[in-house]
Amino acid sequence: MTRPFDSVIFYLSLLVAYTLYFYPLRGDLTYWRPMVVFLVVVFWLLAEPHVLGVGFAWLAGLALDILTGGPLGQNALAMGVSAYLLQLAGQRMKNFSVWHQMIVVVLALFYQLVTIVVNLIAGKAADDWHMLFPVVSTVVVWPFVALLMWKLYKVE
Amino acid sequence: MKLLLLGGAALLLLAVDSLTDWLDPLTSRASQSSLPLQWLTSLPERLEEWGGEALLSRAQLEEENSFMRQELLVYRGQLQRMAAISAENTRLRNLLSATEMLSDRVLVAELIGVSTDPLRHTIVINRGTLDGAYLGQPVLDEKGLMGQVIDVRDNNSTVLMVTDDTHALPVQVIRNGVRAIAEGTGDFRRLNLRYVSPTVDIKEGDQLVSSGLGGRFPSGYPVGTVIGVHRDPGQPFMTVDVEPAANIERSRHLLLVFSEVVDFQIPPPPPGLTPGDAPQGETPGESSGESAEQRAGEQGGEAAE
Repeated sequence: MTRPFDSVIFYLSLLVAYTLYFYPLRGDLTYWRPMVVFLVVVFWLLAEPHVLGVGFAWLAGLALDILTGGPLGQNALAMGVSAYLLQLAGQRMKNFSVWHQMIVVVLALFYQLVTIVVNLIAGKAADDWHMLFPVVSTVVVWPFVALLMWKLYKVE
Repeated sequence: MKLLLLGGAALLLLAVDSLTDWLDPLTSRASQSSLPLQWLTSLPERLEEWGGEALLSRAQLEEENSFMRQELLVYRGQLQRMAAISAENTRLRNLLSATEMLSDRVLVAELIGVSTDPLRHTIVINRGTLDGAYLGQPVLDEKGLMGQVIDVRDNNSTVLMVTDDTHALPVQVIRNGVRAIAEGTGDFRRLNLRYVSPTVDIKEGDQLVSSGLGGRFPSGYPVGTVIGVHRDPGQPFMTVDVEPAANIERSRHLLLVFSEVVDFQIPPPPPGLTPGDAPQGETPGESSGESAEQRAGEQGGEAAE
């Protein structure tokens, strides 16, 4: 029951994800920043669906909001919505498969959609194709994150 | 149910954070918690910079050294004329009875954090209240105006770039003195001029400098170059695209500007008038030429220093 919380990989993966998120990307590369924290959260939701849920995702998002200094609650909301969608889609897909990748596309899209809506309401110029670039980069990065973490978690 | 609760909480937070400033002290402090992470992830970049400096051969260093000496010589030569021009400028301003002039002092700051959100063009620099940084302070890089300080803490502060879409600043065309407002677009390489009527004389290649109106930015710092002017007969204003002069996305070393207003002495009223009759704003003709020149000399000397 408490498996993810006893695992070193759990804490380490979150730490690495938050750190990597702050990797300095300059210029147009900023638009392509993959949502690594989101991916790690999705992995843990898939790996431990009975222990981790919407609450965990929400907290992870809030932590991201606090760290980035952005509008408080933006990532929390996006994470919560994505986690809920994931639970709706069926949480027992433990094996890494093509289906995982498909679901990440949808989730990332919803995540970014929430971000766009929040920014538009705040009066930001979020109505641009740039806003969908992170979805692409996130989906590209996903298989590597998932494979690596699955291997590490299994070994442990 | 859980989603509703948490979603509602997130929305509430969003509303409180964006509509009120109750959470500002909290978020200002909390955003500092990411600085260690930013420091860690900027290590490769720093290492590269350090390597570029430390792992040079002697020949390369000598070459660079001689190049820098030459550059310094050229700048010194230009500076000699600057002193004279600055003195002349002060004298002319005096003739126009301009009441104040700005003398700028700068402090070098280093970039220690970049915003992860492409919609918010902010950076964090390693200077804070302890170094004298203050809210609204202008920030430059080597090429031009970069932004202003929007949040200041003890040892670091947040800078909003001119390209952020919530930023606007008053500018002036060098060629003819036309004034306009340059606002950020959210694109790192483009500003827009606001409310430029189709009859205004502005064209591609015009250099824009800060006009100093509004009192936040000192006048005369390069802001950008006009790269496109589009007249649409259906629109009341022209679209003017400007490329920012500063290296918004690349600069690591920045300058914080401390502008100090140096007040001129109010010229003494001419003998014919009693102090009560003298109007507050005097015309240049009323003050005696001798004292004006003397003041100009003094001010010029100060400016040259």
